[in-house]
Amino acid sequence: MNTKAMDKLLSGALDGELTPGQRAQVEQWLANHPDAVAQQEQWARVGDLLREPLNPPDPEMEWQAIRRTIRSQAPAADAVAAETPVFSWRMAWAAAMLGLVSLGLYLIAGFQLHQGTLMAHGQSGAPAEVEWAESGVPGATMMIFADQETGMTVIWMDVEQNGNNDTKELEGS
Amino acid sequence: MKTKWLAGCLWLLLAIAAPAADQIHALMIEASNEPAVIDRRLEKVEYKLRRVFGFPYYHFVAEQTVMAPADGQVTVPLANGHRLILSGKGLRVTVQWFKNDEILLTTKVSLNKGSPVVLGGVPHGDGTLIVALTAQ
Repeated sequence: MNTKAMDKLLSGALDGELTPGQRAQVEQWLANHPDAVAQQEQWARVGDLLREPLNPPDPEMEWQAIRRTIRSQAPAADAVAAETPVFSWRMAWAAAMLGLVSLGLYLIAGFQLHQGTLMAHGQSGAPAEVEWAESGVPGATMMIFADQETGMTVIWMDVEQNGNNDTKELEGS
Repeated sequence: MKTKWLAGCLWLLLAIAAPAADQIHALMIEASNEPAVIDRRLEKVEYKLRRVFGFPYYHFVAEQTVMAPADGQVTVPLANGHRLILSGKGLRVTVQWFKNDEILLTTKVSLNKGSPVVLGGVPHGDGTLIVALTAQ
């Protein structure tokens, strides 16, 4: 049998069109010709490819798939939003702290403003306290008194009253 | 994150609430019967002095502002050889009034802000020297 006739038989075997006698001939040929086995396998792969149905992508089907994906993910997003309330404990804590700080600043600023206003108007707080006072000028007398109206505390050294020479020394200096 | 935020708030509060360092202002004035022009440097204290003392006129001589002593001694140079030495801590100070090397007056006072302490009675010319100490 020549090669051309055997090719026809090999092709027929792939298509299942051989008689039992022809199939026996083909099997015997394949047993003696390994290259024919390789050729038949190659034809079989080509035939499989040709028999596969052509399925071009359907745009509508693609869009439906995308819509299904979006719908399947949407509930998950809603669930996440539901688990994260707008006014969470963290935000409540931050708001409380902010309010506390604001109140503190308001009170401090108010106190400082009040103090500044008092001093600007010449009103004083508690008068100064004098623990003791002494004169370094011999014979001078000391007077200590607080004037409530002005808030001044006066420590007065009365030198002239004594009329001693220390007064002249001071004046001459 | 929460801790950093809280620390920042506390720092801000403390920075605002922290008192500034105390200062002591010394104003030297000559009280006399000699007429003087109105001096704006005395406007915060002259009307008070006029209420307390019998002098009709007050002349500005010198002024200094120093930091309150922090457990130490601070010298306040004035004019004509006069100076004060403040020793102590903060606004509780011992005040020594010197004329050159001669000590004229010593006192220990606790100053309060806005309440002046007036040291005076030192004869000077036809008038009298006064030093008003005010904590600021």
